[in-house]
Amino acid sequence: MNRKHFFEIFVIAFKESAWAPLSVVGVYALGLTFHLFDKFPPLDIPTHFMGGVAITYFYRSVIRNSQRMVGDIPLLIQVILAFTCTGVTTILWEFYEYGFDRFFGFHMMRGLQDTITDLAMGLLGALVLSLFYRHRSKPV
Amino acid sequence: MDWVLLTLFEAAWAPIVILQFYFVARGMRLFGYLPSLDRPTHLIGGIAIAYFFGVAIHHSQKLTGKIPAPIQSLLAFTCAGTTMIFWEFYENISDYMLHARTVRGLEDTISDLFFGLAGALVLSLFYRKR
Repeated sequence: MNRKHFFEIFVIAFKESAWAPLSVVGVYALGLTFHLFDKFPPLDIPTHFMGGVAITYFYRSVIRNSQRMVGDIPLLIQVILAFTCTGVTTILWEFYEYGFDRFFGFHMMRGLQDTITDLAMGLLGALVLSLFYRHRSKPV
Repeated sequence: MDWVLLTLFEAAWAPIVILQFYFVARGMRLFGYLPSLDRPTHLIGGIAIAYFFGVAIHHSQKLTGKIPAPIQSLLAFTCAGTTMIFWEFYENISDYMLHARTVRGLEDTISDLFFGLAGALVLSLFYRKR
């Protein structure tokens, strides 16, 4: 398996499903720009929930397409891997927010309870997608 | 379900040892006297739980069918990372419900997650089940 093949698989997955997390990141960027999260703090909750749904959808696509590179992956493992990848991504997102607050003086984090709620909402979104999403066509 | 028993016999000792240490240290208030003890505990906890998941995933192939080796390593890492989130939930809930005072603020939680993930990453990169 060469680097070109890896790149091709990533491009296929990107075309197929990157719209989902990019849309949520777009909404998040708009929210930050217009200070919507300060004006409506509860908006944070559905944003993190939808972020969990979107990134899990993206991971499912990447994992499904990666089978051309690594070999067959049992469906149950694909579902669990996408869910847990989202878990790690929600942690990395909190690191990103913490880093910006600490090193650039932003105010993205609003305390421990907010962080715990963000993690819970992200995981809940991932769980909902994992339970209800089924891809119908074969890998590209 | 023999893969579950095989996993428990082979690998449960690792997270159990860390959990025992954690509860003994909490009982003796060691984390209060030596706050810096928290970081290595979470680092080794990350290693232990990733090891446990690595062994479990390896044995689960009897149930699921063959899982490619890179996917096994990645899954052990991500399962360990997700477990750390649940651990933080547990600490927060026990603080809220039982006033256990296990969490020492946002910075402590971020540090816990960072060192736990680092431990899981080290194990996932360097451990190969034979």
